[in-house]
Amino acid sequence: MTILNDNKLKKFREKLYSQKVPALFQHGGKGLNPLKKFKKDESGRPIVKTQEITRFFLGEIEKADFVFPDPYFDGLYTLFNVMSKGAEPVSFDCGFSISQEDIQKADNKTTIELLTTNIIITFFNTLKTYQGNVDRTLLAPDLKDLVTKSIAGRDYKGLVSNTLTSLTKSLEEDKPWGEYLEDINDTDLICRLAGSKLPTMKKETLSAIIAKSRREILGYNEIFTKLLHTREQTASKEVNKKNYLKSMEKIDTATFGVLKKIDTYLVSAHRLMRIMDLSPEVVIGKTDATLKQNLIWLFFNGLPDKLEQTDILNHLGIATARYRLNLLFNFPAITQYCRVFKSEDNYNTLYFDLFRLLFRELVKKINDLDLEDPDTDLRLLKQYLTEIHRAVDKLDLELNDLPEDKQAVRDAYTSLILRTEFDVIDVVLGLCEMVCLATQDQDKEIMVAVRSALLEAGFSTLEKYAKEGLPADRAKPGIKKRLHSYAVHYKPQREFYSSFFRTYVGSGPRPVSPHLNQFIQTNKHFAAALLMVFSDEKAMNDLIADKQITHAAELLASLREKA
Amino acid sequence: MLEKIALQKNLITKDQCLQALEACRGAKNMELALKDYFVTQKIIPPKQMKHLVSTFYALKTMQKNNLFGTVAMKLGMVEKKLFIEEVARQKKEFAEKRQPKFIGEIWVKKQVLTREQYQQIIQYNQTKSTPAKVQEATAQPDATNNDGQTNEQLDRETEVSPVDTQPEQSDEIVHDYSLKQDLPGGLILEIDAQAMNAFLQKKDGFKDTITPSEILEHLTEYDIFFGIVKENDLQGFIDSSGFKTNKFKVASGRKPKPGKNARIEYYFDTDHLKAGGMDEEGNVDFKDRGVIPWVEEGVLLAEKFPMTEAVQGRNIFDQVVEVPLVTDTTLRFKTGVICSEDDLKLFSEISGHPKLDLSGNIQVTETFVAPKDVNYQTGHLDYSGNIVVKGTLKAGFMVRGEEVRINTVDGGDIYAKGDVIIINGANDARIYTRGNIKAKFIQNSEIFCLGNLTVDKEIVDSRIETSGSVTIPNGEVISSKIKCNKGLVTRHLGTDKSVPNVVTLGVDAFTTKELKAIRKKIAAGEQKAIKFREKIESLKKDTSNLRQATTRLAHELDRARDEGLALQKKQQELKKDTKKSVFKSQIQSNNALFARLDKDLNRYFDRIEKNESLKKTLTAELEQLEDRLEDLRYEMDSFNEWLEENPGVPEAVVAGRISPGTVVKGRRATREITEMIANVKVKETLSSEEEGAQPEIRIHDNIKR
Repeated sequence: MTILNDNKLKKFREKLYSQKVPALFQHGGKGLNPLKKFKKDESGRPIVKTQEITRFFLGEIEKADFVFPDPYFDGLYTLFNVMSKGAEPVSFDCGFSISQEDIQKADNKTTIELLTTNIIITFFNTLKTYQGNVDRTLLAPDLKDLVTKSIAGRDYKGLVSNTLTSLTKSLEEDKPWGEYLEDINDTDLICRLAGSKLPTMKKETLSAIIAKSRREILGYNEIFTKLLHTREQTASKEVNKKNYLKSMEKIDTATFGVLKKIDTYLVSAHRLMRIMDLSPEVVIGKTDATLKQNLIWLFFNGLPDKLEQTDILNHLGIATARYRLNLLFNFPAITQYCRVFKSEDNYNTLYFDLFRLLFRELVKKINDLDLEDPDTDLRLLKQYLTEIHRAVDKLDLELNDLPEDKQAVRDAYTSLILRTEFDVIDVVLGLCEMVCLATQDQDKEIMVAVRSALLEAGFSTLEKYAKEGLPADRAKPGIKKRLHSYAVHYKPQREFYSSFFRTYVGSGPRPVSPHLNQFIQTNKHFAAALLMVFSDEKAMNDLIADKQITHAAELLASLREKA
Repeated sequence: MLEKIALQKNLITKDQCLQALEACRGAKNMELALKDYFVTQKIIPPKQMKHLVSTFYALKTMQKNNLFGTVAMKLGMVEKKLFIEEVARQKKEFAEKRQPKFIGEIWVKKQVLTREQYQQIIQYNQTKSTPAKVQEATAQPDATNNDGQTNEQLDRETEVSPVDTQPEQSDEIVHDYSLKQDLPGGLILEIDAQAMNAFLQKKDGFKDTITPSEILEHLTEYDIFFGIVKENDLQGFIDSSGFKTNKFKVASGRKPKPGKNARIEYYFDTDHLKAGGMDEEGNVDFKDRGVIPWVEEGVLLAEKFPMTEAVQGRNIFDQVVEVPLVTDTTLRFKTGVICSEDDLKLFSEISGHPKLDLSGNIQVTETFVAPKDVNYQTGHLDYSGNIVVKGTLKAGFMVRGEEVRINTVDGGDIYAKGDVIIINGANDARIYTRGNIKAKFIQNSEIFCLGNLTVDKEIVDSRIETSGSVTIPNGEVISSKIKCNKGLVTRHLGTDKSVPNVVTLGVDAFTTKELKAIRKKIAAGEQKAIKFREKIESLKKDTSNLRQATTRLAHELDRARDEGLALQKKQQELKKDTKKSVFKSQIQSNNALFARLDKDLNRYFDRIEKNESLKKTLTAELEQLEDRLEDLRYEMDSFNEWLEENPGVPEAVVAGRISPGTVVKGRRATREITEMIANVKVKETLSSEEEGAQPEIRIHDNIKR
């Protein structure tokens, strides 16, 4: 989870450092006064108040629902990293650190804010040396040195001890168990911001929280189980379609209600698991197994005790799969909980089969594309790729899972490139990024096949064009246009032209490629046009080697001589 | 031929040779019969026979290559030089005890020949060659299978010509090694097509008296040397009561692992000069060749994905199963770029223009430099940083950047956020900047500038609007209209023969226009934002309705599926009893219903996804628009403050002469100069110090020179 949006942060920096403001507004000119809002220090550097940076950071934190200490520190690191870029011409007005006494008097929320303020002040105080150079030595992802520096000369033992005491008191109060988590998390964060550690919690305290948690989910799950059984009975016994749909509507309403409660519960349960490093079995208790069973039943169509009979690939149908996933993704915490299915022997077949079904449908969709209406066809394909990516992302399919199915998608995509007309190839290649996301091709290995397909498609489109039987002068621009439409997707473009030349025109050991030879034998005009394109020094100067241009010119001359 | 090589290599005597020929007379496959004879008679030991067979195939391949190459030359598909080189290379390989490969396969692989041409040569061979020659030419397998050929393989290969076969679609030259052969002792030996596995199976007459070493000996006879199981396992196989239907894997090869070439992926626009504006004729619209890429500091520019070493395999004949070699590459970089510690990633060290040069080096430069003119070759220059043009900005072209330094402007447009320096002059130019402008001369141009305009020689036939001053200390202004907020300083204002100048002083026309344009943009943006919000809301409503509809359809679909499964189950149960298909039509109609519902539900989801995707796009656009509006409001505030901070200076200082007819305007007063005056200061002031006094343009003597 990232608290700070990178673009937003950059935009904030841009504004704060007045990076896009005309220099005249900031510094004025001969006879021209600068704007008063741009204050400068004695060296003429714009003054930036770190208070504004603190306000921005805390504002963004405020927007997040619940922030664990790790993402909090990640956020601070990101803030420092981004803000230190472009900081050379800026003078930071850091003000004074907040005193130990003021921090000790504050409540948890304020304490976190004040300690954070001091860390921010410490960072920007050391960021700029007197020459204006940026010193990023304190910038390390764990921010350990920075925290140490920010608390240097202070004694926060009292603060930590008081915070822990108030936590203990809070834990003794009788309140919904989810509310304890905020106190524990705040205490943990305060300890870390003060350079300390949250002590291990007493076993009894933890057991009490867990017991409350287990009681809560047990109740919800019992209702959930009943609803699922009712659903099953209605489906099998209600013969009248109208009545069946009416009953199902009621059951749906009740099911969504209980799912919402389970989802809210799981939000807190996941927090507890993370804060205390506990497994779902511990937090959820015995209900964990039946809850999983119920969720598999509802979302993966896996009937309890009949899991091995569930054939998602052949029986579920893609529409139902899409429906169930859409439903599941309405409940983010339940979705997160369902990720565990991939590592459970009982359920992983269903989990992977669901993805297999999605990938196979994708392959089918790609193979069935006739591109008669490329815009609509490719829009639908893009939508489907988005859906798969969403499923992959939300259910956390791993990079190495289902390699064959993912490869089949990539293969289908590269063959789509091969059969796409040059004038719509842009739209098809525009999907490449989405294919990478959907098939989790982080290393962009698909590019090897894509590049090879571009070359092959580049030639085959010329073969088709050659059949038009145009004279060389008229064919030349068409060849350029066709080659260009493929080359623009090849990075760098010159590698496309160079490889194309080697493969389809000629190279050292093989001065005339069989492909060119074929053109020479069957369509001399076209062969000449192709050679005219490659021997055009002005156009090909940066795209192919000089010797290739010369070679093309020689071949062209010899072709003309023979003619 | 086999016996001749054996004789040459002194593996057999002449007598043995004659005896062998006699013994094998009439054999369908003489070479194979001779091989068997020499081995069974223990004249040539298996290891030496292996080498002999290898030499035999090498020579055969070379013969076949000669035939193939000659035909290819004859048909004009291959140049003589290439063929001679290939023959020489193969001879060299043979001398180095390496197996030559079939030239046809090699040429197809190297794309010297297309598959069609390959076929043509084969067909030519078939029609033109005598059958005996064809038999001779085709009587050998590929070089890859020379070692350890089994009897059946030899038979097969002499019957089927490799030249007759279509080259493989893949680059690999694949050979079929599959074999099923009876062994003494009631065993069947089976080898798979890739010679990666050998299996034993017991026949009815299996003799359990056979020993592991006897089996090993049989395997050796079939040249199986690699990956053989241990003797204990063989004994276990012999003792076992099984393996009559199941096979016992007696030897297994080591599969090759293909490697991957190293590759570099570039994450910036390596070829920013687009030619997207191509017309039907293929002409390129070079004027608009795309935005020049600009990256921020710390951005990932390129990434190297290292090569994966290929690992050769070994088949059960102990032959190397080759895999293509992989190649490595290195990330190369120059200034403005830093490399990660693992040497796999390049990042920008500064903000600027990333460039991949012809030697594959990546560099980032702060300023974009156009070494020559801005013309059809460069296209417009649109860059987020500073621009230096060492040549001329040609007519019809545009330069857009932060600060712009240019040699000459000859008919182009400049849009800058900072200062513009024109080393020579500007002719037929249109320049807009939020900085200052310096130029040698300005002719027939339009200049809009937030800062000061300083010109060395002259301003002729131009229209100038600045929020700052206009200064031409040693030059003149001719036939121009100038509106400057901070006054005008010039040597001469007009000439006798030219159209008089119109000079407006102390008026910030630039800022006023900017504010007007910003207000207009804000109003339009706000309207657009309202429309976006309405559209998003309507999409949300539509999506919600669609989702409701999907629930009903999904239930119908579930029901149809359950019914279908139940019908199938019933049918299966009945089939057992009656062996009849009684529910066929019901199942068919259920399947049709299921398919229809599935299609309908998918359509709904397609619409939902379309809405979601559109909503996402609109939301992103709305966010951008709101950001832009915020920027515009900030800009508007800044310009308003600028107006306050920089009140107009309604005066012109002319050290030389002002020609008659020159119109001088102040904020409220206007005056036409009626007679030639010289060395004056023209200023708008109030007629008197009394209340209600009218402003007027006054002319004072200029004291300063």
